[in-house]
Amino acid sequence: MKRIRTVLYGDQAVSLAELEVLHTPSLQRLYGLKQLGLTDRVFIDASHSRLHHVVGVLAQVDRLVSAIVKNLNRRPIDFRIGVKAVHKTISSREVAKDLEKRRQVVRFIGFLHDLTHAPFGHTVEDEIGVLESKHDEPKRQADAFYRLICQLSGWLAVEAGRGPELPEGVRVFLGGGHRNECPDADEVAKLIATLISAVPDEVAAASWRLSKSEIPVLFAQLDSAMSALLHLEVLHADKIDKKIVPDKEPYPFQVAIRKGLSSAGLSGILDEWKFDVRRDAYMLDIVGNTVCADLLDYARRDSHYCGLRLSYDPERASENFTLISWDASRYDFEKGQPHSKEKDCEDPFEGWCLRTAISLVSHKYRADVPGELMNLLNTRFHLYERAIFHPTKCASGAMLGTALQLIGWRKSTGLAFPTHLRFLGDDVFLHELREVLALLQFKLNTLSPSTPIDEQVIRTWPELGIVHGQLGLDLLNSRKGDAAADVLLTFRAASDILNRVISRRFARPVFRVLPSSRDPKLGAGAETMSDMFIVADKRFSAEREIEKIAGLPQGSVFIHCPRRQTAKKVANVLLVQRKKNEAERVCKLRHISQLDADLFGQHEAAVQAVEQMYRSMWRLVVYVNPEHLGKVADISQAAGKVLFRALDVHGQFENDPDAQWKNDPHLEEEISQRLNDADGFPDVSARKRIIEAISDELDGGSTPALSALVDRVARENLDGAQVRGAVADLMKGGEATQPADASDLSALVEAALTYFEVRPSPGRIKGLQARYERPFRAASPEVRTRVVEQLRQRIADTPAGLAQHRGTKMNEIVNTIDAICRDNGIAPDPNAGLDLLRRRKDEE
Amino acid sequence: MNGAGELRLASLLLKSGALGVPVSLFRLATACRVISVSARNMIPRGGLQPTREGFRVFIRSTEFRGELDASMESRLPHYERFSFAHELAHTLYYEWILGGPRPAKTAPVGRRLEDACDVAAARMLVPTEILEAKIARNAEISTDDIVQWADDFRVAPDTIVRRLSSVDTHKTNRAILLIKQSGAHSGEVKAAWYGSEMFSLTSALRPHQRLDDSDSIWNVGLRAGVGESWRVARFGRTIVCKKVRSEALRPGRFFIEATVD
Repeated sequence: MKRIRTVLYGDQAVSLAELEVLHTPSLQRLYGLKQLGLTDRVFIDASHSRLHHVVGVLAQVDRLVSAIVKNLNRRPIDFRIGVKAVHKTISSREVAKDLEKRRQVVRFIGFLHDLTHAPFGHTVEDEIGVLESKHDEPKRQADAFYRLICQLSGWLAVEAGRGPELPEGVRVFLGGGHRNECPDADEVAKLIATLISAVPDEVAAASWRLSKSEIPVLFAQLDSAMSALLHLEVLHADKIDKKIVPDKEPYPFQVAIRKGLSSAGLSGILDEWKFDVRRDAYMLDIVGNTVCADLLDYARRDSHYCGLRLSYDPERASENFTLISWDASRYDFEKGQPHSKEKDCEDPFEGWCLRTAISLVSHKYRADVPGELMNLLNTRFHLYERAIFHPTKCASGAMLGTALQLIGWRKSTGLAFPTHLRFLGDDVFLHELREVLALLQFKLNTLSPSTPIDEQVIRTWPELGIVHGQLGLDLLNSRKGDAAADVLLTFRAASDILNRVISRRFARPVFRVLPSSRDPKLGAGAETMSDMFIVADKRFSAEREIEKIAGLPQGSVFIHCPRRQTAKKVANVLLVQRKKNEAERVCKLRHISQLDADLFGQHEAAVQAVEQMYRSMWRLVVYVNPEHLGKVADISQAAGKVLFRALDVHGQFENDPDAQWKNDPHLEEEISQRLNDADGFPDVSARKRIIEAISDELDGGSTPALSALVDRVARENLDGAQVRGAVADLMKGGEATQPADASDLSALVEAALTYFEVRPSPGRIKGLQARYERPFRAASPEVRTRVVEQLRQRIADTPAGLAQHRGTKMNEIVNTIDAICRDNGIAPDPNAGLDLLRRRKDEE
Repeated sequence: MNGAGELRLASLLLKSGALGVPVSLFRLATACRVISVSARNMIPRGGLQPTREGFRVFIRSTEFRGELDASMESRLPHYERFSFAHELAHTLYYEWILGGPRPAKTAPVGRRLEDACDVAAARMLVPTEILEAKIARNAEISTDDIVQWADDFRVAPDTIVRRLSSVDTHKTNRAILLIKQSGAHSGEVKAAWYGSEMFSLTSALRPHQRLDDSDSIWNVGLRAGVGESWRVARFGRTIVCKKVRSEALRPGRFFIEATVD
């Protein structure tokens, strides 16, 4: 055993076998995969990697295994395993003993469960879906496992002095072998057999961490853990299809290990560690089910590194873990949700399986257990709400997705995502893409714009077939027939986006659809919107369409549309109630009231509430690069039209000029606030646009008074508060009156500011201006001067260094100026500027 | 205010000789190590300046300027007396270390400190010892009593109502609300006293609120007319408005006096 000192768990014991696996290129690659992707651009400490996570999972696996063993030994019961007609029984004591022995296998399951993640997996796999398989599909997992076996056996051979004899097909895997095809399984089997039988004992003792006899056990345990992981997806799937059911034929990694051990005469070890699907299903639950080691670690780790003050009690959450016999299809049938599976598709977990559950009875009835699960449910929700769905993080993901689509990885193009890119770390992946794009732009610039990309052109650049795993060549091949200028434009746009991502120059939101949003004309809501734009290609087309309407360059608009999340993961955790002299009762957390309606009725309601809250988190957001924010009104309108049109599938409202989806009013307000709070608008025309927009609401057309106002706004460079005052006057029906003597108003504000030791924010200063601008305009110059003078006198009369002030200073100063105004016959508007002053409150 | 604070204040009132009707704030100030009291036309209503020699108190005043002494106490308006008492209450949250005042480690901060000082100020101006004696002499407390006691103690009627609510009086079926009216049918309960604990206090009154189970006595009161009664089904009780009194109070404020059967 070795110790690893970790931030979250202190000293963690790691077995030598685990170190052997950890010290391979496949596992070391996990250092380069950030657990939360680009979230560290928002929460800067959240740059922890998947390697940190899998090591943390080991600690949680240990905790759960110990709890299960303890609880199984507490009271003997018999478990059923198998399909109804041929099921067998096994006692809890036997299972506990077996689990204690197989602890290492469960730890390996935890260790390897994230091995297949691609760089920026969430974007690449879930958001744009360019990979032909998901990370937890058996085929992809088996490929990754085989690569790991090649690396492990290769390095063991090198350390045993057999490097020179290493087959070339295996040698390349010493460095990862990302760009190479896997060698034949027989070749690797031979190598494993050689390691076990041909390496002299003294060489093995001197060179390897493990003893020679431990090597076959390591391979057998890996075979068991890897075979188990192939079943992870199908065990927890709502619908079973062929893609997620492991093949009956052995995969290459299984062939290599099994043949290797058999030819060394050790097939007995394989039987000893064999993964039994129904008996050992719970091992997968421990690592990756509802409440599991994976969740327990990431909920703690992600919130810790994001700096969020979220926590749950890890002891409480795990101490009541136990096992049950469980037939998922029977439960679903009782709940009226038939277990769904594809035709001719066999469910490997059909019938009774051993599964994890959380017991409500230990030495006494534990009514507090669901409370801790609720806590975990809430922790996960807050983590999603605050970190995973942080708007800026979503913007970065949307940008990356659009860049990849511009490069050519869209479903519609059929361009395959190169295998070798799947095995890179996040940063290396971005670097690789940028390098390829730079090279292609350099080459394309040498062509005349109208030259079509064809075989002849591509053949003049043979180096493209050598560098970057032929990525450049593949990209150009996919654009055959397009003009060089068009290809250059898209590559440049993709390159610009990637440059923005690495510089953290993210796009800003201009349009948002909330879950409550609904269009009465279409009779469609956010759900329809989500179903439509969850498809990456639809988003891509909509983005380009918005750019076209709003006159923006390609790669300026990005749409983020996540899946509508639910709390299913935690809410599906199984609860078991085993009381003396009573039949065992099992249900999911979301049906907990079945156990005791009086006691847990409110818990069930709370679980449902959290599920609703997850849905409320969903939003579709249209982002735009900051340099185009001056055109925010046009872009927002274009977005509304494009989204509407996409949902109007029958073209019912094609000729309706008002047909557009409404923007979220909160976002509109935020944007307008931001524009008004800025020290100055980027240009006078933007300001005019705002005035013009308001004018539409006034009387639907431009009046001479309004035109005069627009001219004045442009000429005098009025700020937001002044514009609002002028517009308010106009809305009252009068001519735009002369502004208050600006010097008097600013003298008042400046005098007020001398009361503060720390200058208030610009927003609050504008609040002061907005509050007194109108009364000042109405007052004579003498009165204005008197008010300023009296305020100065009051401030001068206030002793410095008072220890206590009643209320905030802003409240005090506003109350004082109000009182002085009233004394001088000016009536301040009680509500003016309050939104900006915020904490302002009437005292009397 | 906690029990220790109550005791300390009671002891200060007794030792300083300030206890009386009205309370002598200047005597209390001396006991609180206040070395000067000044009136200024300043921004905050009051302020406290801790120095090594003692505390300097500042009160916002439009009538007075400069240092104040005990002879002027009777001429201070109610709200300035309250500001004075509030600043004195602040001194209770200091401790003297190395010859100078330092904020006590256990003292609340921010808004909570200000609220605590408001409570302590009301406790200073209307001492529990005297208030309980007055309650004991009155079988039924009426709005007339409250106005009279406010004059006696030289405080606003709000302060009396608040103090009544905070002392442990006998159970009664009487309720008195001091309302600050903000519209024809809406207002805010500035202070309320109800001898029993049956009804909740709703500080914000909503206009045209329908009377139902969730209604509280305070909401009912706003629409009161003398002799009118309402039945609050939730408690099976009837509230009878006995009196609406608005004289002798500031404009926009009125009392409602009611009984609960």
